[in-house]
Amino acid sequence: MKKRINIAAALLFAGLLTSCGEDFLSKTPLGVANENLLANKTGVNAVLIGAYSLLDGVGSGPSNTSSVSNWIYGSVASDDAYKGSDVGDLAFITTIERYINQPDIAAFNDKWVALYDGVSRSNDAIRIIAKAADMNESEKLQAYGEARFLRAWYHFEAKKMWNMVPYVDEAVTDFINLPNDKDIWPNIENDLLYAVENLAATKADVGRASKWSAKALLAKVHMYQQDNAAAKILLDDIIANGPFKLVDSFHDNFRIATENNAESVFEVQMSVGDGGNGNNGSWGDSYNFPYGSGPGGCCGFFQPSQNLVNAFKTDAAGLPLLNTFNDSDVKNDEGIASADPFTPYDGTLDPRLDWTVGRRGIPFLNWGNHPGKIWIRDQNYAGPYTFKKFFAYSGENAGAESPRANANNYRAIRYADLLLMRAEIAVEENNLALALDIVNQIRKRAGNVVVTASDGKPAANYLVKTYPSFANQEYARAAVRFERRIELAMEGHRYFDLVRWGVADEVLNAYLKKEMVKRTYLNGAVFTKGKSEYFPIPQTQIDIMGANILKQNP
Amino acid sequence: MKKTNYLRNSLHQSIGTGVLSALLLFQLPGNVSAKNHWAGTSNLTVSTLVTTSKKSADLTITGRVTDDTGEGIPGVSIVLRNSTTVGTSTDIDGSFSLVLPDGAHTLIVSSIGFVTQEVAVGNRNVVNVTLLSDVKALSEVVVTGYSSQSKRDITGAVSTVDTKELTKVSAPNVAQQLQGRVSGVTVTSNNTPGGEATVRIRGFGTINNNDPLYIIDGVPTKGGLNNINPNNIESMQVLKDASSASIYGSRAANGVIIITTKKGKAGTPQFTFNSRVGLQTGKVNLDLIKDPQQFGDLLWTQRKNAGVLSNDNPSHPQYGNGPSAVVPDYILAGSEYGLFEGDPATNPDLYNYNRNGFYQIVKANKQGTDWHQEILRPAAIHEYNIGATGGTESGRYALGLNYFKQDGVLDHTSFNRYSLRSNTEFTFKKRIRIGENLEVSYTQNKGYYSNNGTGSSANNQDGNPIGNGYRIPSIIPVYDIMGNFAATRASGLGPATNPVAQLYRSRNNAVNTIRTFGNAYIEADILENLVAKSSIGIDFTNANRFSYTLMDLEEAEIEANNALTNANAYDVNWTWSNTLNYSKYLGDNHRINVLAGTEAIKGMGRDFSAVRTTFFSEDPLYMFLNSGTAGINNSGSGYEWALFSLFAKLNYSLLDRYLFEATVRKDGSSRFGQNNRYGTFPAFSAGWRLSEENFLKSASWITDLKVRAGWGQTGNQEIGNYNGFSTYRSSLSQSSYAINGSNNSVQAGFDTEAFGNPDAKWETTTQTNIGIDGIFFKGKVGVNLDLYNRTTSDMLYQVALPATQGVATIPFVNIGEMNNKGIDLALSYNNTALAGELSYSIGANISHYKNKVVKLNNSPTAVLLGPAIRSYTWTRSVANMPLYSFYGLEIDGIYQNQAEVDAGPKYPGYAAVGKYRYKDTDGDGTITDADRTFLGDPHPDFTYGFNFDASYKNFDLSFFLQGVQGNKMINMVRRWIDFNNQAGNRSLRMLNDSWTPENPNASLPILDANDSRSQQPSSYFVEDASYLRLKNITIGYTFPSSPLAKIGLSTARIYVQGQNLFTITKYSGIDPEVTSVGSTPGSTVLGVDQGNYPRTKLFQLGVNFGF
Repeated sequence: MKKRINIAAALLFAGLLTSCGEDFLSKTPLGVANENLLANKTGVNAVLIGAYSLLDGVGSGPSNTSSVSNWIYGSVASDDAYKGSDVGDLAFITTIERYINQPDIAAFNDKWVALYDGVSRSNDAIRIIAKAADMNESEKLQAYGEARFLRAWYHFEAKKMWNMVPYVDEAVTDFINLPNDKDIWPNIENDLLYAVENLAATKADVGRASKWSAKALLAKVHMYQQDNAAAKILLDDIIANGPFKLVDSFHDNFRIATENNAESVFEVQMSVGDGGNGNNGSWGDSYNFPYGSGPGGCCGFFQPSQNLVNAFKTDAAGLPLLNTFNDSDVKNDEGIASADPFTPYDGTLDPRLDWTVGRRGIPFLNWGNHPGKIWIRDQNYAGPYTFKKFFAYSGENAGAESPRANANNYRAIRYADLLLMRAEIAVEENNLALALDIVNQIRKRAGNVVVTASDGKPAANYLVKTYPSFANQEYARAAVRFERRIELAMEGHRYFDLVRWGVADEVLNAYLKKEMVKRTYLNGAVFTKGKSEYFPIPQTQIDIMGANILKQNP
Repeated sequence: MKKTNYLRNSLHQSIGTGVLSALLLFQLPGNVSAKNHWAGTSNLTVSTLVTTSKKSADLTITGRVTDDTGEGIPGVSIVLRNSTTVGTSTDIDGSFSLVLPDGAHTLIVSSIGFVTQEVAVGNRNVVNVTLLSDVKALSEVVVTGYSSQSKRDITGAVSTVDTKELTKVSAPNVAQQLQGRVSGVTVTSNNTPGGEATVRIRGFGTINNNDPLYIIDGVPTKGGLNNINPNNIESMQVLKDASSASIYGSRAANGVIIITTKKGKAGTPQFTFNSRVGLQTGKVNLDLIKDPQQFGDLLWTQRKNAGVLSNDNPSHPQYGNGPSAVVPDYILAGSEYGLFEGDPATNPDLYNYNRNGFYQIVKANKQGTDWHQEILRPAAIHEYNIGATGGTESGRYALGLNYFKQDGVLDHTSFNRYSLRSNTEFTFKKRIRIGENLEVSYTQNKGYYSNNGTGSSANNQDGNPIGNGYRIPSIIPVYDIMGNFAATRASGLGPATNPVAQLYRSRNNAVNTIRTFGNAYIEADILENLVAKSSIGIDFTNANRFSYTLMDLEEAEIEANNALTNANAYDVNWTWSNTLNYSKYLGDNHRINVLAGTEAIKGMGRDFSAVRTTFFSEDPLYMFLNSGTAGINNSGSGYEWALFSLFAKLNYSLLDRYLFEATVRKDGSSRFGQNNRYGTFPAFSAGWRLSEENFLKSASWITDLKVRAGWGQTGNQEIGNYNGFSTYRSSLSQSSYAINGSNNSVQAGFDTEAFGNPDAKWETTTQTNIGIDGIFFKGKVGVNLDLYNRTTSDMLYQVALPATQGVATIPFVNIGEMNNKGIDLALSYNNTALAGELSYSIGANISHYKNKVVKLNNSPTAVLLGPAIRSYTWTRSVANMPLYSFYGLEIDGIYQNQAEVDAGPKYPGYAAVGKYRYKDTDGDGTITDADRTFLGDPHPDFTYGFNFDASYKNFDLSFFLQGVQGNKMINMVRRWIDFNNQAGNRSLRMLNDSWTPENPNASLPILDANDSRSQQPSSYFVEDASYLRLKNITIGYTFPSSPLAKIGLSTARIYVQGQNLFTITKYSGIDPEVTSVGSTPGSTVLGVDQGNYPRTKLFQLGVNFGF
């Protein structure tokens, strides 16, 4: 009896032991994919989509501080705009505006994280393409081309910000020992050369990179290295053989209704009401809306500077005041209640002003006349203007999760940008005729369509004319650079242009000197040549990688 | 076998034939049915005591055993001294009869919870015995791993918790009640209604999850204790060292808390009704500016000092643009700010509270709003418990019904629990027992903090109502002129939310949880000494969450749309354990017990969540998902994990003096990759009962004295379920793109979801423990002392990866080693006075641990950063420092003049007269991030508790003090109220104690509107957070039993109680006890205060009735 029970017990135990084997302990993740599952044509495309999806700077966690529009780093850091809002809100941006450049503020890390996540996603695509069995060689080349274009794009953005940054390709496995001790321009160029060679000239989808987008980006990469000769070949090719032209209306570059037009060389696609909670829309610029009862209901950041507004003044000949534009201010409504009367400035203005800057008394797209003070969070702090350039029209943004996200694409590279770069080269080569021709093309277009009041008449005293001639190289250089500023104002290029031209210290210190009287929080701010050109490498990354590997900028 | 009688208590301690009388003496828990029915989880068997084979010369005696109140005690063991065969136990009334052989004279009378007595029979036929209760008596049987043993035989560090003391504290869960009760256990309670508590046993063993493992009636769980009614708990043991805990292997590294619920007792049914009702009050006092004029003055001084002037004067949307700040009559009218009576804009006819044409008119609150006062309320707490127990030898039951309702002291926050517990056990043919323990509970957590269980960070952060309460300026009234909420739409006052509105708008947020927790088991005595047991446990949770976003037009940054999130999750864990337990006396001197078992555990869960926005009405009766018209969105996920284990335990006792225990457990976990799937966790311990040695036997003051030593290993597998896998996910918001140019749709893409680490292996904690247990003066004095050394190796952590690798869930890697050395001491004293009319007891415990990170990443320079809070990281862990030490610049005074500035280290853009002089710790002449240094750590020097109980006649008094000494805290609230951290309210300290030439010894630097540097992490924020708290004081009265009987009551007691009546601390924040930041399970970032839910004072009245 006893024996039998013992045997029974032993059997019971034996049964228990064997019933729980490896199968029981084998658990694989639910609801997710892995590299093998994605190693095919559809999977590769999906991973590429994932890499494209970070172009807007949103999707890795951060948003406003990593926006593709570079509103903080390209515009607020320059003479185009102030942080805006009120003194305390996102006060860290003020430290950027004042060139204090603290490596420990989260904004720099946010931008770094978003860009390198983009790099990482591009590398994921490259790795998976190599494994995909059902793709033929040309499909693979196209896919590699797109991935390497994107990888170059993200590295280029990082290079602009920090100069000395690590280059990450698909072969990297040790991410800690990845120093920023080399100039990565050659790596970026390699990726883009590959893209130029292998990408199709026409895009399968309007949002994809094409051979032309790659050439355009490569041209910019050369321009940033002052390699005019190399840039010139590419730009001439694009101008002569590319499918681009200036669209008739300057404003069509900033409307949802006219996205992906003939002037678009590379455009970041935005979408709303798509289940993405606004993250696929312009969420990186979601603070940059008129305040209070204004459209968006938030938050009043990114206010154009008085200096920028003044730059749109024209003389009796319809030409900009290259050297004297900031001697007097375009009249504004600072300190005047919205209920009190105000008559806008009646001097002559470049009509692009009112497509770029929201100001009192001028129609704010189709949202009605800008009412001034009540749309501004604190006029006293950051002046009377609001951001307008790529804002959405009322009714054009159906289905949006939030009025603060819109589907307006960011025109990352537009033809005007390339033309003006070609004009820069022409100036340096003393080909003033070509420079004049290009600048005049831009100016001629600027006058085509202007903001009109409800009576159909121009909303202000607009006057923009072409230059009859450029007197000399120096004048031409000033004219080209000035044209570039007002054409591309608030689009996030200005700071990088100033640094690229080597004039950031003189331009920005002059700007600060006048602006700090109006915006007292700029008191004492100074741009230090040789130091302020590049932003500090985020302290968080230095802490992770080690200060001996990731070296801080001077 | 030659046995005639045998007495068996637990398997572990089964007594066969020929047992020495000495052994019987220590077999004191050996009672029958009544006291031992917690057999359900342990391997205790129902004891039977059989008396047989009388001889003619025998003497039959009868008698009754009662407690000090005269109540009969059932199930008392009565054995003849020096006999292995003669014994019995008392019946329901406490009566017994026993046949004694000729010449026998002394009985040993014992029962759990009472001091054992030796009674000389003499010539008496009737022997009545009164047993004195003895909470810490030697006889106590405690449940340890998969079995139970007499407390006196324990060789590991095991603390027993007096559940009667625990439940004196009114709290939603037993973890909170545990605070201060047990040496070596640190509890930080989250004060939100229904909030969880953070329990740490012996410091911090890892950077990873530090939560202990809870075993409730044999079923493991890692948390969710507020679903379990504390009043059903019969006993609670804390296994603190590895030698006691390692039988639980891979999940025991942070200690194990074993909870056994009340079981039925054979006898007439007993009913109990307990209730208490109380009132809680909370207080928040941060010395904020209340007078709006003072706020304006502060702004003016700041702007003047900074040179931020317009027209030569400071300027502010509310306070004007003059030489001094002028408090306006209105802070908002439409879009105008800072207006005065008579301004046409303030015409009430213009008022419009619709989103379109919104026109709000808000008067300045010239008296100043005390925001924290506005959100606090006195709140009720109710608790009702009904219990019924009873049964027969063949079937017993215990039933517990509980209703617990706690309103929070912050508006609209509450926690309700309804629970039913049913424990039953049946015995067949005296050899087979079948039973179940089951609790079903329904909890409802409502309001802003409703999702504040594990995994939420609603508490202790600056965006919650407490945080907004210290951020929003006092000039803003709660309501506008028409009674709608007012807030920061009025310009110049920062972005904080009106906390009254915040609480109101989240009033219908709720998490409703149904949890079923329990087990069913069968236990069979296969042989006399061999018991098999199989138990299947289930832990099923279903939670439903409603979360509303309502329009807040009065805010600076308004919600885009109203929205509703409705989420549902279910989690199931089952645990199947099987044990065989063999117990045997080998000869007179050897006692052996062997346990072997298997356990399989599987956990799985599924959840989904749905969102819609844009509801026509915000009426909660209307706001269901169906009625939302846009933003239709949903998500869902799932997980599975499994654990399979083999374990064995051997106990050996020689002469009852030399005790030895060995355990081993082998665990296989689905969470580790193939190569490292299995871990083996051994442990050994030994005890030496000195008091049994001849050289101490004569020392009559020593009742029991034991030294013990143990060594063992335990593991930690809290690394998520799929740490080994690199995965990709498809996310509409994060990896999708409108590649075709669409404005309203995206193509789905993929991005990396997680980086896998297939090579992760078990984190192993090796612990050595040396302890002394002593009972002196016949139980009057008790001492438990433990010294330990605990080293965690192959520590698992999610080491921050460089962003160059991309963004995805970071895998756990084995990166380092940590050490805790500590000492735990518990003392008790009980006695009577005034001829026994006054009895009292004193308990005290004190614990100390020293935590040190030994190495990280195998690199002396490796750094683990704490989370960034508003752009700064405040804590870091490095080798040779305690875990999560505070890190920042050290302040070396304030610059008094330009000469000092010139002589001090350079700090471009900062160093100036009136600013902080930071220490140039690296001596390079310039202040940079390299000058940051360690500023203290959050680990206390010691924690302690002091408990006093006394009863005099029918009155009883008890109080309980609890404290923490020597821990530091980062008072992050001060960053908001003492510095320019966003626009918002400030402290009186900032107004009055900022540097001026006239106030050279100020604590704060000169007021400067442009100063953003003074708020960086520095020694300014580090405070001593030691405290001593009167946790509980109770005065009760027990009615005499005779009049009660007439109205059908057997017992009745009423009491009044106060909780948290005072706290002694120098800490300047809301409360020195602060829950960890992040509040994720096992979060180890502690000692950072961003404003906790206020601790409440509680006054309550309670009644206990027995029928």
